[in-house]
Amino acid sequence: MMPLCAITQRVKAARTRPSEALLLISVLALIALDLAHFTLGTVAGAAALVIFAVAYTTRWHTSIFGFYGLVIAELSPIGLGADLTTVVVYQGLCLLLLTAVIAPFPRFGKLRTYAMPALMTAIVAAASLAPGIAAAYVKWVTTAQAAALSGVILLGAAVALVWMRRPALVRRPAEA
Amino acid sequence: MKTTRLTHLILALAALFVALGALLDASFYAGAGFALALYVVWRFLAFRASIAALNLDVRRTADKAVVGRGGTVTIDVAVSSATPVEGRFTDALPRGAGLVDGTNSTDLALAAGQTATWRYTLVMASRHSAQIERATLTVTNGLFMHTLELEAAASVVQQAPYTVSVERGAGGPGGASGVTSASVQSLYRTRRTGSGTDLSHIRPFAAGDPLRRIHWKASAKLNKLMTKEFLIGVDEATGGSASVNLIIDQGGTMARGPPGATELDFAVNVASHIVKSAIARGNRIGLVTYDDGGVATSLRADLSLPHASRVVRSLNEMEPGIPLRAPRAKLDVTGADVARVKRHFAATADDETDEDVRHFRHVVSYMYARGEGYLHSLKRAPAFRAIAASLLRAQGQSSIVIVSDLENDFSPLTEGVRLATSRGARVYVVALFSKVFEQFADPLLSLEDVYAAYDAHLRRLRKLEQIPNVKVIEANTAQALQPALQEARIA
Repeated sequence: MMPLCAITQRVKAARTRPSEALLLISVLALIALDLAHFTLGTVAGAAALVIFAVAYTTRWHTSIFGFYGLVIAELSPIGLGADLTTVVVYQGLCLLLLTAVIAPFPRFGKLRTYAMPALMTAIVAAASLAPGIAAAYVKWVTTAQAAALSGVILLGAAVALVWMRRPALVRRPAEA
Repeated sequence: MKTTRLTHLILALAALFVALGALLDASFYAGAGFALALYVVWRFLAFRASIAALNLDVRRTADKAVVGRGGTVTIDVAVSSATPVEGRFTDALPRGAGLVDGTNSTDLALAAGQTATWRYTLVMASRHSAQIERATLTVTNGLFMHTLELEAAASVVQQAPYTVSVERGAGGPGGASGVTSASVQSLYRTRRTGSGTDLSHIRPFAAGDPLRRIHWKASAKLNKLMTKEFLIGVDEATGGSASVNLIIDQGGTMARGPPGATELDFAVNVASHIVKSAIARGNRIGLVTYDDGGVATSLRADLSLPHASRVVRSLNEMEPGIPLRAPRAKLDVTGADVARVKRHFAATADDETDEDVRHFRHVVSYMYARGEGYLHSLKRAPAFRAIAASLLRAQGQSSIVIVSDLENDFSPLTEGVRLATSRGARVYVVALFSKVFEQFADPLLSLEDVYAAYDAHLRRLRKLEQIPNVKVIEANTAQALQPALQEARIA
């Protein structure tokens, strides 16, 4: 016979996963930024983000749907009058949002492994930013166009990396 | 390394934002494009770094090294890693192996130093090494995907070959023998050594006796040289060891069942068990196989090692015969047969005899013709010929073991069994129920059909059991067979 306590036992609350926590943090921060630059457009953008977050967590929990959330966030009208700091913070939060919706979620245990790639990424970023900054310094292009130029260079590098598809330099795992 | 759809979407979005930023002179969108492209680059480099840091330790334990046709092998896999790893690990199965239990592919999510273990069971369609030679690990980070090929080290064999137990099945391309030439030779050596040390009796020394066979203690007591005699010597001198004659049905119907677990596989499995037992007991072993066309293999009962090897080779090479397109013509008596017999019997003309005598003569002629035809048909029947071949070569105390599904030539088989028992042979019939094998191959087989077939099968068994000195062993699984064989003292 089943013990009574088994029936009356309260169901434990589900543990929040790191990806969901990151999604929540990034969406709330994005909404806060939107509301800090209060306009009708930013309020609409914040509302769209809320709807996305609810739909993503409750029903369409896929990476592709998460990508739509990124698009919604990036198309926020905040970009029309944002200063450099806001742009950097907002893009940072967007990337956190993107990280939260991509499965599998990176493991914290691998953070040390990511140190060298982060350094290499910083070098690539600096290398791609240099021509844009130089062009802006000599006033050939505006600041936005300089950023776009750097973006084009970086995008070219990213596409080249993706399309090369070289086999990874792996140490072949040994079997016993 | 492969990219996912999401990677393409992000790159497309980045390109769109960069273009928007340049066209609208909006640094927000240009920055968005830059940030997305940077993100892809970072994930790419991080993915490569995480793959390079992988250091899997894969350990497998197989319960056998070489498995024959229809045999199963259970493999335990333990994967550990010094670094965290996530991905799908898949063992590439050997050729012809099928998964019957568990899974060879699993999603790994290991923390550093953690070990994941799982187990799966394979069934082999042909004799093959159970070694897993290749495995793959597919890792992904959501944007990129890469499949690593993991090759097994050469020294992965856990056990010496040919340690396959009969119960679990083994065999060559055509059969499922759990016995091999190597194992038979080993058994043979063991048997001869063991028997040679079993003292039978001592006798006075005769010229030519080897000195190591002198029983020194008895010689001292009796004050004359005494020689030890061992059991094997007695057996060889008198030729008194029993012979076991195997008769295996390899007709077309014995091919029923899924690949690797057909009726013939089972039959050969049983036969291999008996061969092993016979060799271990020092019995002579003979083998006769028959298919729909006649006797396929006929090896007389013998004790020598080359002969045992021949038996083993024949078992391993057995394959089901090709079924006849049309069933053999049943025994029928034509009017011409009856007229011929009647002429033979006729002493007086029909017109000189009355009606009763004419009728009696007709009946007798019909019965004689039928009997003659039956005998003729019987002598041509493969099952009867197989038993007759065994009997012709039998020496001393003889046991005949017939492994069949009793569906081919049942009547000649029964007659053959009667003949064998009348000549003093002990007959064991290992009866396979074919519908079980059909059901393995076709799970949708109606249960009613199985019951009906089993009724018919039981009737055949009862008919055989009525013959004295016949032991019918109804067995469709090795577990059920083993006690029956032990009870019958042939295993």
